[in-house]
Amino acid sequence: MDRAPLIMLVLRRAIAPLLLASIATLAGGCRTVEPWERGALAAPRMQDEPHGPHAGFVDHVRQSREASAAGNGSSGGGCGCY
Amino acid sequence: MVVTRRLLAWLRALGRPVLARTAKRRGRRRRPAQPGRLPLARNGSASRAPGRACLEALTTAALALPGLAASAEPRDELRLQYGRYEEDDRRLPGVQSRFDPIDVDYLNLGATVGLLDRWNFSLDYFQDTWSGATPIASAPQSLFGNRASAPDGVSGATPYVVGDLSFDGDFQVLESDLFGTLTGRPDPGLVHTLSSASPETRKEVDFGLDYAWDDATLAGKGGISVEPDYLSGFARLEGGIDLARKRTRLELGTTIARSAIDSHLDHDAVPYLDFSSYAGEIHNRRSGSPVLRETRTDWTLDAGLRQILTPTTRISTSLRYERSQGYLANPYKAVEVAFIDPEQQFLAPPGGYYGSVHALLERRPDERNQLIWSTQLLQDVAAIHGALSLRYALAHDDWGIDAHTLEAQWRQQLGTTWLVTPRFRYTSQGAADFYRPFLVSQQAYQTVVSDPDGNILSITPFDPGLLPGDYSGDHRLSAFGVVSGGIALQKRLFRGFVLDLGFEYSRYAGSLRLGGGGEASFTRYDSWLVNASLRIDLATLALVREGDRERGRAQGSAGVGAAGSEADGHAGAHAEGHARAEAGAASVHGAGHAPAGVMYAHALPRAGDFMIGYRTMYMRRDGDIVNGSKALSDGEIIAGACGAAACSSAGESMAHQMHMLDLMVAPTSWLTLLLMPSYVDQEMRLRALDGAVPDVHANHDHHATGGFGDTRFGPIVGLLHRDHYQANLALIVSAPSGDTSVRFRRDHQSERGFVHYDMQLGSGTWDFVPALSFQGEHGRLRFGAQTSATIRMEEEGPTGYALGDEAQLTAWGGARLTDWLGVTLRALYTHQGRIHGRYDRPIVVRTPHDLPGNSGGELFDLGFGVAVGIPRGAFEGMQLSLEWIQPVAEDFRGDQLERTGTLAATWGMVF
Repeated sequence: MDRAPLIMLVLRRAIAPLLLASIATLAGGCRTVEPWERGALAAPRMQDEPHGPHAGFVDHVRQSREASAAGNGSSGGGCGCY
Repeated sequence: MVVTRRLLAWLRALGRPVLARTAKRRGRRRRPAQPGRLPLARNGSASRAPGRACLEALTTAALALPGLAASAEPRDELRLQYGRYEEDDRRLPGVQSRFDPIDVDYLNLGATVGLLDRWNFSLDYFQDTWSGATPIASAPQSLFGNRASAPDGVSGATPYVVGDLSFDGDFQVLESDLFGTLTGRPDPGLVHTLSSASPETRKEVDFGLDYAWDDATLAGKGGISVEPDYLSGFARLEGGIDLARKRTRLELGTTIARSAIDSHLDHDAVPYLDFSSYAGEIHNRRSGSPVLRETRTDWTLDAGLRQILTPTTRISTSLRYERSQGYLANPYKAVEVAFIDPEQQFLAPPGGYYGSVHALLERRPDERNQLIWSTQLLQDVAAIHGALSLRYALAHDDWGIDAHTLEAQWRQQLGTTWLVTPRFRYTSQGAADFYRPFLVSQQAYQTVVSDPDGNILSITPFDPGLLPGDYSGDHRLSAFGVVSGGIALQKRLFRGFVLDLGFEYSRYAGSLRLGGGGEASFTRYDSWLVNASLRIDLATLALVREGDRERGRAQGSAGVGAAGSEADGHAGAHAEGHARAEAGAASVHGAGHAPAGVMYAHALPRAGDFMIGYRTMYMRRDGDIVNGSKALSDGEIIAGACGAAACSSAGESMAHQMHMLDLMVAPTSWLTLLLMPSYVDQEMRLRALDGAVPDVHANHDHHATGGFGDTRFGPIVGLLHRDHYQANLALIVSAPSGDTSVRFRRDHQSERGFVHYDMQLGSGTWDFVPALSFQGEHGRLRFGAQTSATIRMEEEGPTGYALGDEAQLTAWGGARLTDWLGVTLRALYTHQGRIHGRYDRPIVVRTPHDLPGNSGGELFDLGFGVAVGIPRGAFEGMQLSLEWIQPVAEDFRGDQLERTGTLAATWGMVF
């Protein structure tokens, strides 16, 4: 088996802190954000996926390339055997 | 009115035109006043004091922010998308495979339409066409699975999945050369055995319907996907509810998909692959070829939470459960098993073992339960108009596959129209419990019992109980990591056009697995994909048109009462503005549109106009093989349709579909420039001829091709343009961007060469396509005529032949039944010349379609057309035309498959 490169070890160490930071951020999310404060949230850059067509195609390819990549629920299937 | 304009201006500045329409629609509904909501009167003016109303307008718009209710926001949108995916060569030590790596062409056409006030309907068409080689199995290098059968080591590479191997006393494979001589070293490791299939195409149609309340949405989706070996349908129901004044959103969805597998077992592989574990599921087709018939069901349940944390931070998390049951394996993957028979070891090396290697169709569990948790954090950095997106996903299933995915994006807005997003993604996946790239089993593959005279008394196959219950060597189930990097660009163009471009490069390797322990380097490969899409936001387009009209009206009003030349100037401006605003509607009613099957007859009427359109033609042939106008019997086909050879099969049906993007721009009022790239996919089914010499190829009764076709471009010159009639001359050039070297894959140890002439993707030559068109109308009547030709400007294309020249004469008449509906009747005469030359490399001639002499003829057809134009609303100016072209008479040169007809469809919109 091949040895893991350094970047993998760094990433492994980064995942746990990232998760903790996410949970901490979520826990602190009790601040009331009034509707008139949501201008930035409406910007295209703050959408879940602003590049929808590109992301859709990438997801479609991954579904046939990675066993762990699940469909997004809108795919009708297809063999994807390529 | 002032408040409404301010609100619309603010919404435009937000860059979310969809909101504008939302607010506008809500105004139309005249809902009763609610706290925090702006009641707009019918004419769009506020019913409260201007200052207060303005604040409330902003509040209303903010409450309707997308992202928290994105799935059900009304969007009148059209989508066109093309993507391409390619992999690089697999690592095959010792041999250079002639197979091209896998590549995929992806196409999506879609529309979302707002129905009534809160309903949306969406329709999408997807198409994948793929070709190239993929691993069928993996085996020790000493098996030489990618053995070269030609001296150059390249041209004849072909997969071998059976053979012999030697092992040492610890069952480690010993290295040997191609002749089985042991080198004394251990085998260097596994390699993939590659197999190539002819191109295939998958087509999918999805539809969706959703409804939005003020604080909740409900959506239903469904679709069907069709491949030659796989039919799948799905239905999905999803809903969401907004809480805490839309700071929080809860979502719930469920999907069910049913699939039927009808896998044609490769006739070339049947003698070498062991299908015994699926004996009960294998049936014979009418042609006699075996197929594996299975079904599977996938059911998912997903729940999500989205939360606004601060004015610049959002987070979302979701949990998804997926349960799959039925046939979950891949019918084109096998596992190599070395059977070491303790009774037959006379070929074994000293102290070692001898094994006979056979390929068994893979087996996977018939059930899978998967859980995926995903969380995304979005942080805005307003000072530099950028945002950071971080996403982490954890997947776990009862196949033993655990996966971690981390994705980071930096989304940078540049100016008001660009969004640039560098993207990085890392995934690490563990192996499935039953992942076995190579198996060793200490038993005989078959035990044969014979009497002393050599007569076989019994054959006992291997005992499946001595193998693992499930086994798969599919590298996608192995332990590996993927690192991907890319960039996505979005540019908001004029009038609601949004262009998206994307690129991504990925490396798949066992060494990239988190913590190491991944599969060895033979599974490593790189891939890349590109994507381009164009979206047309019809809500924005409607606003722009409304603005044009208002300006035109305002300028017209200002011109009234003004003196002399000034008044003339205003009148001119008025006319120009009004004309541009009404351009779409005028093109619907005017004389400018011929039936759908007529090309190059339409020119844009005004300088500066731009048109985007889509055109498709579906041509089908099935029935008899016809010579001239006479149907041939199978005996006549065998004897005479394949030249010196005897035909063994003939086309039963053939479908040819061409998708064309129709782009036009008018630099002057008399000149229109056209660019028309095309995409082609074709399918042919063959049948064995009664009385023909049996041919193993005849069992392979389906094949398809697909990819970019030829690209046409050139000017359309307006010769005459009056209110009720026009004449145009098109001088089009067709560039040979379509491939004319598509080949059948090698099978049964032989090369079959190029596919049939009419299955190639283009003409192969530069062609000149002139067309002279006349169109007119009188009252409700429409009429027109066109003469056109296709002249090959080269003697031969890159593979040694050129299609014949063509000439066509057509005339039509019709009536406009209403202001949005018209019908036409058309007559066509077509002359098609014979193919010049022939393929410059040998091909196997076994059907009439393999001979260049069986092409061309005189054709007479009738076309029945209908055209729908949308005179107002978000889709104003759009025209959809359909035409069925029915063959009436034909005089073929040579022997050709009878024609069924052609369906032509066009969609176009002038801007």
